Amino acid sequence: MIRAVAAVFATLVLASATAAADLMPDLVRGQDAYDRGIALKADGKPEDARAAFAESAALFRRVTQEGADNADLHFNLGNASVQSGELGRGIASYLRAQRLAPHDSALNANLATARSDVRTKLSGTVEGPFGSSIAWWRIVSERSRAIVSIVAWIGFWSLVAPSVAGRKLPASLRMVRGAALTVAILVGASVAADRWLAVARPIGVITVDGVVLRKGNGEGFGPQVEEALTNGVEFGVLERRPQWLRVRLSDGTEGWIREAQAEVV
Amino acid sequence: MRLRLCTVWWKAIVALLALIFPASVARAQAPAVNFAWSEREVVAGERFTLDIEVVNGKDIGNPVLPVVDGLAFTVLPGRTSMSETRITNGRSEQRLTTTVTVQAIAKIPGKLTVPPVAITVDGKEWRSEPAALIVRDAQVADDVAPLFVDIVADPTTPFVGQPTTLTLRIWARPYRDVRQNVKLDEGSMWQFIDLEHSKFGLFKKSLEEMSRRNQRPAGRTQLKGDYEYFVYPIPLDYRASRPGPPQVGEIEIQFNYPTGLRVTRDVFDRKRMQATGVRPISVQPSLVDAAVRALPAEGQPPFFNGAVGRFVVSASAKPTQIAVGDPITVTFTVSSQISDEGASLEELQAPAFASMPELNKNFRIPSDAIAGKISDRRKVFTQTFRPVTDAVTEIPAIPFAYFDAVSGRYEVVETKAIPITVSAAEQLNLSQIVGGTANAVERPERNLTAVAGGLLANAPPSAALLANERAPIGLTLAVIAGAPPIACAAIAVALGAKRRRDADPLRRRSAKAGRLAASALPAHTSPEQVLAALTGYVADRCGLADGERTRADAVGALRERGVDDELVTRFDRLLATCERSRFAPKGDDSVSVDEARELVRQLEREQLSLKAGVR
Repeated sequence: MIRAVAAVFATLVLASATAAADLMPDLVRGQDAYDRGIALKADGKPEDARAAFAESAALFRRVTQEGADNADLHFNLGNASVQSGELGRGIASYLRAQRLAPHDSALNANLATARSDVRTKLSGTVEGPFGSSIAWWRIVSERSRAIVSIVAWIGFWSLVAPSVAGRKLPASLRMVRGAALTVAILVGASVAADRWLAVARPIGVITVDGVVLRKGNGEGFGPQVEEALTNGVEFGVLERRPQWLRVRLSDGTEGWIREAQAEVV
Repeated sequence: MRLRLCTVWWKAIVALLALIFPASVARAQAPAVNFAWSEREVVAGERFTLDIEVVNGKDIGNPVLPVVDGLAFTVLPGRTSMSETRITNGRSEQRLTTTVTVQAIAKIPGKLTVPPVAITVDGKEWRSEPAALIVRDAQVADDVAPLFVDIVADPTTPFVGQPTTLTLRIWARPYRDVRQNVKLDEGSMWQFIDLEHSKFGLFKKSLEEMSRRNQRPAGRTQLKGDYEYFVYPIPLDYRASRPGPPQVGEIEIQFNYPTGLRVTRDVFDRKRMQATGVRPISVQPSLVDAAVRALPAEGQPPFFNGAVGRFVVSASAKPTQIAVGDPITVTFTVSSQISDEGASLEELQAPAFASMPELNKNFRIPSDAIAGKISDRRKVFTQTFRPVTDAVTEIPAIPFAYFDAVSGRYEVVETKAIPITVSAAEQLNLSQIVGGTANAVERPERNLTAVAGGLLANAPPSAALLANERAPIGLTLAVIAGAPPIACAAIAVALGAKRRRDADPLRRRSAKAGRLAASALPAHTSPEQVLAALTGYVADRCGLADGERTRADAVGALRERGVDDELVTRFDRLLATCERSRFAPKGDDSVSVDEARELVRQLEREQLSLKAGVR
């Protein structure tokens, strides 16, 4: 039994491992570039600092593209993007990090700071799958919940097997078996719900300035609102068509934008 | 007693009637007279009228009409009267309107000035204003502009920030159909404005506001040069933010001017006029009679921040007893002295406290712009002052400058100085630092003030930043999750089969038949033993009774269960050989044990039911 659980843990860990040794130099160089940007900014060289931050963001992004997917990395990428002036991409990275570590105070503080720099201020909030207050389960990361669910699932079946073989379990073990099944189903359902929400109700961030919210999926359609949207405006994705997204802004306004002008989280 | 009750009731009823029917105490207003020409531009030979409306007149004489060349007057017989009673706040007013109509016909085209018309009401003579009339020849085509638009301002040259009333005026020439002898009134002419396709700029809001109240601009008759127009005014409260002409947006009025009329009748047989054709006209404002002036530079105080109007200011501070560096919340209130909402407070900015030398030498004040709260005609700003020295004894008077657009001068008002008490900043003495023997001093706890904004630091590079924290949902997880229930199911199926077999002796016997036969057929076995082993095997497999172990029983059982004929024939032949060998001379026992084993193996592959006739 213990061996089986240990084997499950080992499998899960191995399944999530990345080529750490290959990516570590990029990670270190990315942080070095970020530190250099901070120093240049303090020296009153904003343009040089911005270039250093952009280099840092590119290196962090490469690490994510190679398969690393964790809250700290997305947080660092968000910081580097915001510092380099890519406000929308920074907010998108923070939102990805929030999906994995929803209650990280530093992450939420930086996300709030980045949002305060968005020039287009809209009422309301974009109700995405990662910021909903009703999703109480997000106090624990998705990966931890998946492991807990699997272990509880195996534990439940391990206690079912003796009953199948005709052995009567003591009452205490029967209670443990029931609890294990409950935990496995509830926690597993929370993981499934997160995955479903991410697919069914994706959110995104505008990554350039001067985006025209149009009435339809083409440049020939007139603008939906008089004002152009600025970098960093968040939205919920309602529909996807080739090169175009139908979006809903936090104030409820709906319209179409080019997919290339935004980053879907 | 009864008489007394009746008296009380009568008093109550009289009082109630006095309340319900206050008309009993109503008064008629003083007489008034109004003279109204039906038209100011008339066609020669056509009739037009002058209505003399007398309000609350009792003794009304005949009008005294002037003598004008080319103009003939006739007082129409009969006077119309209309009585009206209004009750307002318990007071009633009676209004009796009597209208005397004078018909006029102009004979010669040209300009006419009609001297005052007089009428005597209750002994007092009333006279009209002289009226200018334009008399046109009906045969001459009307080539005057049918529509134009202008904008006027009051005042005409406001200062930047000064409230101004702009009025968009739409001038529409009344359409006259000579053939039908009909002139459209102002209400009919308004219907020809294409509101849907017209652009009204900032005036659109005023028009929408009227529409919400089911109103429209009321047209009035006005002469423009020698021509009569209906003028539709659309007012707008305006406040310019920069000098020059007012920025009122794009204005373009679309008008479908009628080109002909025809008479129709509705379901009640009432006469209706309907346009037989229209001429689309599009006009833009030809005149903007307004110019916004810049605020004068002369006399402008250095701390002036754009306030225009008339204001008074006041200030309060809390707390007033603090230590150096502690915050004082100062509330600065600006109240407008203009009662007619002319002074908008929306754009009123707070004074730049941080740049005032009287303040910043003794106080640390944030330089950020602060938003105020508007309540009635006041705007309240709140700012934090922190004294930098304990020598400060007051918050000095805070000046506020505004520009009075009426007088055209800058004015400065001040708040009253607010006395405060500032104690020295708390410091630790040396004895406290080194743990000396001085008495401990109770220090109040303080909360640090967080600075908003700014990004927090990165996570340091480590192997954790290369991990994949997402749940590994995929084939591996499916196998891990699926294996336990599948294993349990397999165990359950196997154990179930075993239990079912164990519960049935025939089935158990059938299952063991092969192994028993194999063990009963060693290499050197007599034909009798082979015969017993084979018939016993068939009896076990087929669930035959102990008494049914003959050759015929075994062969019959196999045939009944549909075993292949060839196999049964071979089986029967071997059993026959065994039977013959039992009675053969000793040493002639040529029964093949191997063949017997082979037959058992082949029968083991057959599905033999425990019931006859079932394969």
